[in-house]
Amino acid sequence: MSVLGAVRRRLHDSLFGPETPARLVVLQGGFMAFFAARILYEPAHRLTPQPSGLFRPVPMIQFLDRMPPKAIVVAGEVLVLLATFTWFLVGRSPSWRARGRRIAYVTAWVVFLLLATLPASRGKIWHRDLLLIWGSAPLLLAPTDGGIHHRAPTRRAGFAVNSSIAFLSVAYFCTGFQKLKASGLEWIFSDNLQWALYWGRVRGDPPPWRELAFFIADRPWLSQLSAAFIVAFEVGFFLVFFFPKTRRAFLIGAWMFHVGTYLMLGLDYWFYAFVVTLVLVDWPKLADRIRRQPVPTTA
Amino acid sequence: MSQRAPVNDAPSRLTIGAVLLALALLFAAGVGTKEWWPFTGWRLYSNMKGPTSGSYFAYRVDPSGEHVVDYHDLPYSYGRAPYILEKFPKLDATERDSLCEALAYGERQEGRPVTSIRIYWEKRRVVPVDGERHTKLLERELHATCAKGSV
Repeated sequence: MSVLGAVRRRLHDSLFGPETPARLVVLQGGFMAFFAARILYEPAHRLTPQPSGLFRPVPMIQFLDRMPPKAIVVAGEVLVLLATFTWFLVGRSPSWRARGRRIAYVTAWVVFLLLATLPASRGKIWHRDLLLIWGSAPLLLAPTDGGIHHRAPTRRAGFAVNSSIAFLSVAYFCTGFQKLKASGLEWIFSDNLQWALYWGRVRGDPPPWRELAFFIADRPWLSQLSAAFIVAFEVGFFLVFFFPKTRRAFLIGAWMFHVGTYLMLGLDYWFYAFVVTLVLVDWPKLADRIRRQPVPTTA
Repeated sequence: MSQRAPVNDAPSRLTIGAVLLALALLFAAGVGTKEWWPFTGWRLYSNMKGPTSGSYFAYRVDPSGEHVVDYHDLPYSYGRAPYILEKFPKLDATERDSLCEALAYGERQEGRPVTSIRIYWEKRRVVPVDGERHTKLLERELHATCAKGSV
């Protein structure tokens, strides 16, 4: 088989390899819970009222000349919370499950996307919700009739789960790629990260653990090692799509990276770590493994 | 419990096409640095950092003098106003006025007097001292005085 043929085969297997409906249900439920959590954690209605001079709409809502009224934003937030509640509620009814969950999921995703346009319309690209939006997007068309106890793998469930992993892979890869595109290898092999750590967020609050940031920044070799880790993690993230055995390492890497950027720069990307954890772990399989563990008996 | 996938359980062509199209667009925007939110160029800390940095700063002017606009002391909806300020030279006259009026309005809403808003470009050097970040002003240039006379 040629190299191209082998790559094509690997791509096909990675995208269409079967997964259990149980894993898909966990993903759908997890994303629904994240939509609700994100809205409760950082509600968009806090952006209203806002003077029109501070509103810079993203293309999706270019027709607006200012933030929508608070009542409309609150209504959208309530709709997402209701959709989440409904998704879990209808799961108990076999006759309502498939259609009810489809309507609830699509409603929550679309309204969440619309709400996310509001923080994105303030003059700077808003990335904080994007991994959640894109990681959950392939599930819009996924089957919704599965149950948590359905352990027979299907290709329909597999395509949805694998696509979600593919979207995450593209997002992280592009983030690392952009560092190399804009700055080249100098991003790693220079004092770039040292100064980034000394600066922190130029205008924001001090980071929670500035001492750690300065500890790394004071040591050029450690700064460059950290920069190499960041780029390797981001650019290499696509490996999780092709080689499932790498997922555990990248899951640990994701937590190190996002906890690190929070502690040292004050950047709140917790939901990136949550999304990666939800998507990369086969939760039903993990639950089965834990359940099968022999219970230690006392002598 | 079967571990084999049924033969005819593939996703529909429509599903595959829609997902792959979205994935291709996400990749194209990401590699091509295009900003069509929610498709994005994923530029997160991609530019080099150095010891100095230039930024635009807004100052509230009242009879007692100049006071830097502190966005922490303004409503939550002002949190990203500094990023609009960074684009100040590219804004047209109407947009500049609108931005200045917004800043003056926010300051007044918090009970602080405003006779005008001044926009400076400042270049600063970061100075880490004993675990604290300080900055030293290197250059300063007044770019605009706006929101004048509004009470």
